[in-house]
Amino acid sequence: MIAKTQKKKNNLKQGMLNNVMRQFDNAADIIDLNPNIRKILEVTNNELVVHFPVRMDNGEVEVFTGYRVQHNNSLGPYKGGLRYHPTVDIDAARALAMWMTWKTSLARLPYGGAKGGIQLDPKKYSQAELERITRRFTYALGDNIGPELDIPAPDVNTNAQTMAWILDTYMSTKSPTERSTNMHVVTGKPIGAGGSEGRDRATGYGVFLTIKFWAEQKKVDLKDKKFIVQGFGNVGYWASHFLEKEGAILTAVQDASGSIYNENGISAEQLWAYSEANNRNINGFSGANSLENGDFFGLDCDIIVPAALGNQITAKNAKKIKAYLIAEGANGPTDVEAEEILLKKGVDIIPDILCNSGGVIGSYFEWLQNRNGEIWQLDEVMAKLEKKLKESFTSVVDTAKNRNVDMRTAAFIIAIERLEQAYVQRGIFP
Amino acid sequence: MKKLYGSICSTCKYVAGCTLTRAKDRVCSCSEYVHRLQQDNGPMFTLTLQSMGEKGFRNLHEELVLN
Repeated sequence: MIAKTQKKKNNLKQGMLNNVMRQFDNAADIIDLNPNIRKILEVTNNELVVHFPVRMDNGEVEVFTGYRVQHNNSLGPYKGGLRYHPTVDIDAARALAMWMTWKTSLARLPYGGAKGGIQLDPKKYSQAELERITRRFTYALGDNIGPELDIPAPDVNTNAQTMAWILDTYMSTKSPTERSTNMHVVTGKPIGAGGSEGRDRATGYGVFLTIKFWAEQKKVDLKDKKFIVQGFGNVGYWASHFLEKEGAILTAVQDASGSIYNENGISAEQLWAYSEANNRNINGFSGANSLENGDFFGLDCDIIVPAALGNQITAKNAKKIKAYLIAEGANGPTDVEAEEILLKKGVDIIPDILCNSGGVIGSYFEWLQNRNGEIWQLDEVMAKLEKKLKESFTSVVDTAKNRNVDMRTAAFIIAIERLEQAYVQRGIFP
Repeated sequence: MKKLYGSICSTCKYVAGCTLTRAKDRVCSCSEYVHRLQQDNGPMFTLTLQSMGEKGFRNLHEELVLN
């Protein structure tokens, strides 16, 4: 029984890594990637596992296991989130670290990819214990992280507060003269502790921008276009907010509590206010009627923004889709079979690696501000984000056209070619 | 309930009633994810960049300076 359980766990983790590897292999085959560089990118650079003791509130000591996987740093310091969850282990961290390498490369950021975290269920610990766990983990990581080496960010169950603890602990290990030069050891910090304006909306704004760029390129006016959003968290809300400002009409939303629909439009602001007051559930919102969940993706609309979780658009519901654009705010919302069906139908898909890259670009801006001792205004951050995303979007569209591939493949090609170029130009030591 | 070995759904407060997916066994990121801690242990995971506000950030900054 134990062996069976372990096998199942391993299969799931392997599945995650396989997905990332499959996308990599597909693009690598198309560009005929140098086999030696393929060998390098197929494996991670460093994998750190730390076991560290923490005193609990009851006086007992518990030993925790933390991970940090650094996949590749040929373009710059490792960058990626830290998550606190029972599912955190070396395989999950490997897959997610690799994913970060492609994402930062595509966005033309001077970063590599990393991921990590602590295997724990935060429910079992008090806030004081979580603070001690975070600080002790930071101490255990020591100089394996650093503002010019590896820059963690919030992820599942970690947030601005967690980053502030990491920052404070990391800075405390440095000499007084060095402390203020280490503000950029983490991103996603509270604004008062070195965080950036606009970081909260960066991902959602990025989703909106990629839709806007797509519309400009296709000569489509977003005014009065109907869009539906799955997931009304930070990404779904901000994407809706900006699309609405552009004149598009939000007609349906789906979240964990159910689906709602109003063909005349749902106010994103009112829905957000309702959701915040209603335990983050949209169900019961008076400005719309409830809808069968199974009917959601088949609704008559122009744009679908899946901004919740992976594998939502499948072979089963892809055939029913009437929209002509899917903007992937979530990671991996369209599965492989569904993508084939949609591309045959002529539906455009703005791939996740491009569509939701506003978040990591926002992190880069925070890092830059800390590094240069600057504080940018919100409008400055948003303008820079637009410029950066436009650059990525244009290169994906051009590559898709020149190589006659879909946008997802084009995005991977760009990301991998940039890494290949770095290795070719720099060579391999010794 | 089915064991969710490799999924963040295993600790999400919406897991029982979530209508987004039936395939909850391999979810590694989700914008709807809210850890059960939010209900059980108070403010730690309700503190977001958005909800904390300027004042909260300032207080936190003051604490950091004092440290």
